[in-house]
Amino acid sequence: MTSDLRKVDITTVTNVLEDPNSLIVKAFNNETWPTKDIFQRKLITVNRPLLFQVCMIENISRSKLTQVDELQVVIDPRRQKVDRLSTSRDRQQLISEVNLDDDDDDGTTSYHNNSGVGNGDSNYTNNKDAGNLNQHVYKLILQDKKGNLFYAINLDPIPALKTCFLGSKLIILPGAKFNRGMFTFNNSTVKLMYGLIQQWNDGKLQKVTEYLQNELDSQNPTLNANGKRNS
Amino acid sequence: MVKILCVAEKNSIAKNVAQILSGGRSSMRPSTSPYIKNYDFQYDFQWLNMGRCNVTMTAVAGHLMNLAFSQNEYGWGKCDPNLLFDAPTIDEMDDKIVKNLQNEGRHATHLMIWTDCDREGECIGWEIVQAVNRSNSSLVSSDSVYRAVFSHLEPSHIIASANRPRKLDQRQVDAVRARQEIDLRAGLAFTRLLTGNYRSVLQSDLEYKQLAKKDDKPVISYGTCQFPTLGFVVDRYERVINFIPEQFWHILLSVKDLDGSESKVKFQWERGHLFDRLAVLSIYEHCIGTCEDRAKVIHVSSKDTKKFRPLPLTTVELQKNCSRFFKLSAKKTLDAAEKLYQQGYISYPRTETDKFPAKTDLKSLLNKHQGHSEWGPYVTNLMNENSTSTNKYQWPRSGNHDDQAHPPIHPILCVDIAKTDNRMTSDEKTVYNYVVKHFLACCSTDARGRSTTLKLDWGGETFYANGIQVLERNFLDIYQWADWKSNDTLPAYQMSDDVVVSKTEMKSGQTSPPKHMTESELIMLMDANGIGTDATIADHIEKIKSRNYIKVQTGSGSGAKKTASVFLPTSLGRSLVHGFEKIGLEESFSKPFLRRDLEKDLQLICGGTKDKKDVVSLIIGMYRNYYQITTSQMRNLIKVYNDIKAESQGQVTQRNRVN
Repeated sequence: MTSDLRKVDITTVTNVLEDPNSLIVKAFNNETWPTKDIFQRKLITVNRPLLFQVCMIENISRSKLTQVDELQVVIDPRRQKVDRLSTSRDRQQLISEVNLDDDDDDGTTSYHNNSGVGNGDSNYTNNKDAGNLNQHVYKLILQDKKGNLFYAINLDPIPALKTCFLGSKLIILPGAKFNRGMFTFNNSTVKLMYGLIQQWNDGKLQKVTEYLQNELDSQNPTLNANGKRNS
Repeated sequence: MVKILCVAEKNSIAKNVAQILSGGRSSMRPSTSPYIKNYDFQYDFQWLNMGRCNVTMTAVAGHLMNLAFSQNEYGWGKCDPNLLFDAPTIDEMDDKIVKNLQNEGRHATHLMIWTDCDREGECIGWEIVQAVNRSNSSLVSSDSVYRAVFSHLEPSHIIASANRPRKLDQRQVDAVRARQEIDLRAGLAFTRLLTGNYRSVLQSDLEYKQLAKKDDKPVISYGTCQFPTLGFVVDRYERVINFIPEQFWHILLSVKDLDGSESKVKFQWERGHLFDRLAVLSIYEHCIGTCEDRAKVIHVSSKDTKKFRPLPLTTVELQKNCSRFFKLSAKKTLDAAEKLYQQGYISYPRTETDKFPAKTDLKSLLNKHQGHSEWGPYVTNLMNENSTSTNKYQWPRSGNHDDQAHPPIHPILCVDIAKTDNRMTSDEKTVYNYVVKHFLACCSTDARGRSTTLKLDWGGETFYANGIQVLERNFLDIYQWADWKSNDTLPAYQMSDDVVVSKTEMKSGQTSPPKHMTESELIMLMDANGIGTDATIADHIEKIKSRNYIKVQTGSGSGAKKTASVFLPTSLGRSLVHGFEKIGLEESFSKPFLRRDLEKDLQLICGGTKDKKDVVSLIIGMYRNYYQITTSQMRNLIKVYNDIKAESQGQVTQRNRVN
């Protein structure tokens, strides 16, 4: 039993005391999204509001390694590297990377604070974040009241996702698409209800760092047991 | 009888200035030093208002004094290095040069300092005054010491400098003396401490032995700039070796042109790429499902664009570009530039200024080059106001830096290497050619072009293509290192046009590791973070090379396509950085913060808002504390060295096994 769906784990809720006509309660009470043959279901349009809680969120516009590096510096500022470093302390605002090949059309060398060295590939000059900085795409792992897990991504820029708490609630609205286990939504097909589950956010930075690090390791069979690349 | 003693920083400058002021009628005498000559002539200094006076122009050879400790009491092995934080310092002087100054200054009525116009030059000027004062104290007490302000050896500039001297700036002298004292005390104390503790473990370091010169005894020197410089290289190295590649995916569109033919232009996804295959696949399938092969033009723009000519040349830009374009090390570049300056070919090469003073007669400097066999026709065309070329003389762009001492580096004389029999070395020729071409580019017109952007909406996703058409090359004709080329012309679609998508691709790529540190990148990082000055950056890099903290991996390929050499840290270099990290002192040693704070304090001394004594006392107090920590944690430092050594030997063994 609960009086505020936004603050609890919805998989544990059996009875809701909130206004039954409110969107959040309607979305909670609606039939959950089917999970049968989930990876074969292509481009289905969502036809009812669906309530989910956010189990994990990851910026997929940026490399995991870059994010792990940054998070580790936030957790322990002593880990900052001086060839690309930026922190909040003024005296430590370093010029972290110089781009010698990019003349910036003004004939001078450009400086970058904390841009992503290490994401270069042979086809791109992608030492910076991918695409437009305001259009970061976040991949969310969502959970419904039955405990089913789905992926979701935003197609519109939604700045609030950057600081989304674990356990916060969101409603996927009619019009959103579902494709092979993943919802895609934009500003008009999602409603962020915020809230959080306090316990899930204890040591969040550490948890997210470990999650990303594990993802990195699992993608790279060349890594040794210590997480370093085999030579 | 009025006698003016003029003293330059180097003999070559003394010779040139004497030549200019005397109109070529000076007579040379030997001095007590084999490297220094005395030049006698007569000159009418306007500020003196005494008519033609007897002048002796002589020189020193850089710093005349060396701040040191008494060898008897504080020599290597004679005292606990900890005592060096408080030990009295002495000023050692070069006897032969001092003797010459005393001889020449004994009967002088005025002393005129002609050292380079920077902080170090100001201090050398002060040192000269101390030396002359030994034989002629009335000179100083009567306030008869003047300082010429000049930045190159162009005759009219030198004559103007001779007639408008100022007084020595004691604040700049104090700043240099503060820096010298801190470097001496901290440098010697830590060098002795580290060397004493690392020397024995380095006996069995094969990598160190291979890099060291024969019979060299290991010296683990500490310098307030050396360690942060090493820190940049180590951090980059570790970023490279710890790099983990990641896959990403993106979508590309090809379209039909207006006439139905296949356009060569590929439209890029505005999202760039995403590091999640399912996400890209979902978006891709959604686009195909909703729009199939139809896209719509949602943005068309076309605007004039420019490729800007370079900013006027600073020392750091010179070093960086000579490293990039000619693979010349920073030290070789600066050495060559210094020689060119001493011969009067270019202006003073140590400058942070990237804008020309408004009164500089750039046209006459340019006109000197009209007869040059290589770039003469370019200059002639540039200066001809009636030519049909779009490339006309322009006043150079102005940057934001002005050291208030020297103008940007520029050529003073035209030297036609192909025609004249001169003694320029290969490096000097390279640097001279670059300085001239950079200067010509600065005074030319920006390149002009037209940039077009076309954006398409396909299934709610935006794709774009940019086109550049270079219309006027202008400065690019002389500055061949800047690349700007036209690319494929975009299809001439209009806003809201429907476009047929001929091909859609979901492609993948993989991130690649950053590159190891090149010298040009290191120079820029040091400069941007205030590690060293334009004059000393090259020396710091050489120092960490010679101490075997880093090694050079030569670039591959040949000629213009040769890749730049990169710096890799040795096990010793890595262990020093990580050792100080381990004991919690990285912010003050391997990171640039402390050094940068010191540099700010030195500037405050120059500005008169901080006192030399206070700055020295504060910083030395900090180092004394660091010394205690380092001494008590030395076992940890050595352990880090042993661990890193074992790790790198393990990697070598593993590689050998694989091979």
